[in-house]
Amino acid sequence: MNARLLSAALVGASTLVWILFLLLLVPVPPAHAACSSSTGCRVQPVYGRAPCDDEVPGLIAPVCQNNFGASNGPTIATIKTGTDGSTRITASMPCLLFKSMVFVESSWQMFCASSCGSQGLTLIGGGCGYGYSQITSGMRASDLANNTSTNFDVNRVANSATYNLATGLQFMVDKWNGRAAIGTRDPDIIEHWYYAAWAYNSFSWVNNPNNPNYPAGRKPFYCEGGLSRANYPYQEAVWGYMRCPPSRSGKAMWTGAPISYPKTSEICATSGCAPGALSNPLPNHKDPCQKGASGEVYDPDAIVDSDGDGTPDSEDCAPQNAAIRPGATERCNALDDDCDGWIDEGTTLCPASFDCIQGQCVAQDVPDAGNPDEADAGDLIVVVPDTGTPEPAPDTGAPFEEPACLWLFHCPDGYLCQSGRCIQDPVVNPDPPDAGEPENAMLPAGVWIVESSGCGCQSDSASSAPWAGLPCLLMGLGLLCSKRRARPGRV
Amino acid sequence: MSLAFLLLTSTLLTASTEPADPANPAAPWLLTIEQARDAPSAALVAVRPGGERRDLLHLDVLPNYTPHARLSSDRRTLFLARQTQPNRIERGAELLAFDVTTRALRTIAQGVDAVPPLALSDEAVAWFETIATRPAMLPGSDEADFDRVTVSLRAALAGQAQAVELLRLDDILGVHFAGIADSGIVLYVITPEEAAFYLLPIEERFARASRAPIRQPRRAQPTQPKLAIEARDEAIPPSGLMRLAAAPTGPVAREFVVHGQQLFFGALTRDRMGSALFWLDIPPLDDLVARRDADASRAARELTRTGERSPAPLIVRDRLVFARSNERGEAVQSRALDLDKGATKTLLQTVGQLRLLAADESASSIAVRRDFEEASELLWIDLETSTARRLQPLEFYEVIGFSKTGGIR
Repeated sequence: MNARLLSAALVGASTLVWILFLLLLVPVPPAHAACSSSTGCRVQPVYGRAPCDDEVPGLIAPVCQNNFGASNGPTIATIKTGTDGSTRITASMPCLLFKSMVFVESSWQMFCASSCGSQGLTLIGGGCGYGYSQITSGMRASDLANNTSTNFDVNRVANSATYNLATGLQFMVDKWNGRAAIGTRDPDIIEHWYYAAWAYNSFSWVNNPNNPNYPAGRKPFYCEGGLSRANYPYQEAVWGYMRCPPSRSGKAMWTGAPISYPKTSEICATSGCAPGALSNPLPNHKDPCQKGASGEVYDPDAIVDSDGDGTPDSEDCAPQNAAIRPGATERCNALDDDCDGWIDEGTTLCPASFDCIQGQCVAQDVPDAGNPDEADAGDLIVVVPDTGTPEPAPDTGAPFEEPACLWLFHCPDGYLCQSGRCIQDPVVNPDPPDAGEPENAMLPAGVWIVESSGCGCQSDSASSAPWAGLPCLLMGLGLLCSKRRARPGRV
Repeated sequence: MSLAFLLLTSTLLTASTEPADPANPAAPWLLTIEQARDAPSAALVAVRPGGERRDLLHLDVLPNYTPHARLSSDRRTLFLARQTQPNRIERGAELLAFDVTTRALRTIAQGVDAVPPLALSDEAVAWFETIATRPAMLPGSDEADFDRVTVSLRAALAGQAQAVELLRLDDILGVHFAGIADSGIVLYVITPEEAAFYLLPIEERFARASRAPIRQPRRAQPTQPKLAIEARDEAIPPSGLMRLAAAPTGPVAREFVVHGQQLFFGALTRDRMGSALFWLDIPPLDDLVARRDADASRAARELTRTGERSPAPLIVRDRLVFARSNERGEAVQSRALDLDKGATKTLLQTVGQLRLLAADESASSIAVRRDFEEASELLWIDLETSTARRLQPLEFYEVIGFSKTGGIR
């Protein structure tokens, strides 16, 4: 290689190294423009150090306890308490609620840094929501043009983590004071903040839990069996995270607690749809941070056992009934005494010759030779209760043609009536299915087809009788049905 | 999402995959949207019993925000409301159309409300845009009432870029699509005074194909002005919004199904101790216009009580299928759509909670979610053969409906 060329190459390489070195010395803002778009917003984003997740509880604790120092946040109004709201006390809010709410708002993000501990621009979300608390009111450019006054410093909302959180507290207290009472309106009780959390996002129909966009019977958001976020109003996202906290690096971000929900039948259920007072959601929970407890995270020991039966409410299917709990003895009472999801299961609930029928031990009947169309007083016909309006005679039209077996009691013990045929119940008979029966055609355990509003049971006498092709005779004769003994397994 | 979770999910899926059914090209597909927890993407997946799956589309989404979706009447086009801003329903989404057969995706509108749209026909779709929100105070109190909103109802045809505003509702609390009847769109409107159902006749071009043409009323007469409305487009006649009836027990109605001129829905019972299935006969348009059907005489009627379970009614062929709870668990029941005849039949009973999700009217299949204790599963139930088979979706999923047979490869 030519010596001149080699020299030039060395000089060039040396220059490149110097340029790279200088670039390292000059702080280059990370590229997170998408996280911080200030278009149409009042305050430009600023650089700040992004706290790490383990630092955030330490930032939140003094704020939710309203102990952040007068110079570090806006003035917080006193807070209403008592059913009539006539008493006012120094404001504070449960830290567990505040943590969850800030997570829903910003995923605990104040600055858009590539990693915690490094510098980043203020997080500005949609609608000009700033930082941890996603403060939007007064933060739009139009607010400046309209001279919209605020009772907080808009610039410090954008540049100070503590100030931003404290402004979030200020808003929550305002929302609390401007809404009707829940229970005794005690700010220490997390459940009493339901309206305030609702209003923090939007006190409108879109967050009404009775809004038909949110499925009935939904399980808590982010918990087992929960649905995606679009199926919950805002405050239920906060409630869900309080119960089932998110994790980062495999570690839960706080200790969850089974916060109760108000009765949705009380919410805006009047024709006028006014946000009236709600009854006290039970069981309810206090957060120890209000009481000066050392730990600012939720104390798991504070989980409530409302009925004092030794089982926490979160694990008790009847938290207000001490007689019902996991491990309790099942009795014939139409209740799920042992919280296993089954009511009056087992064959020893009643004396011999008695069956447990709808919560009562009833003497077994003997088939009579009376009028086959009428069940006499002693007949035990277990029907699926129908609490609805009386219904006319059954139809037999397609596509529900009567199969060879129609009800379970047409089949012997250990068999299910499926597809018009009696097949072995996979739960009672754990043997593999017949070679000719594809496994995927089996009914999932715990599900059984009954195909009628008639007996969900089987005949005592049928177990030894030939059953193939048995017509629907037993039911027609008003023959007795005993409780179905096959207990489907759980899936 | 952690790698461990991915691996676990993958393992579970593998372990639970059922042996494939004998190929049945005529069988419909169930369209679902699946999303893993905290994942920033969702997949539109067609599934069938036997472990058959077809990945149709992968969408970038906000973590945990699975899009709302509705199928067109020919079950070929999917309308998706994808939320683009967290925690914001009002104008926080964009509306997409996805052709299930060609897999073409296009944007219809942006800044729409993040709620389910309404497929008007094979080609047209309607949606809401909340254009103003106004805080309100409770009379004689220093406490807030619910916000009042102004909502625009807009619609577009698949082949046209320009959307039209069909209606603007002012000073209401909220509005929802209940469905589309032979005579127009059925709306569920919540005002400070009441929750009620309304009928909005629409022009034929928005409701053509696989649906009988909608006749315009000959003499459009204003109905009782219970709503501040403004018809914005020639697609509906002036003052074309007609009140049908109040919701029976206040603003707690849900799970609407419109079939022909019948509306079915779930709501609390009058004593608010449980749920019930209600129905409302929607009068012919001419009767509504001529007011031969007196407003006062129309009322939603209770069909049957469904215990603690909201009924989630579906239509399967000529039958109404719904969920109901009793002391043994929960049941799927059915009865003839001709409500004057036929008894209620119990089709399936189980422990845990049931939620009916979608029906394939022609094939008598329904998709049902079952939750028991900590487990939940998606079941495909064939009502003709009384078989229930388990499908395996990812963690969060939305069931959209059954696709057109043979439309998916």
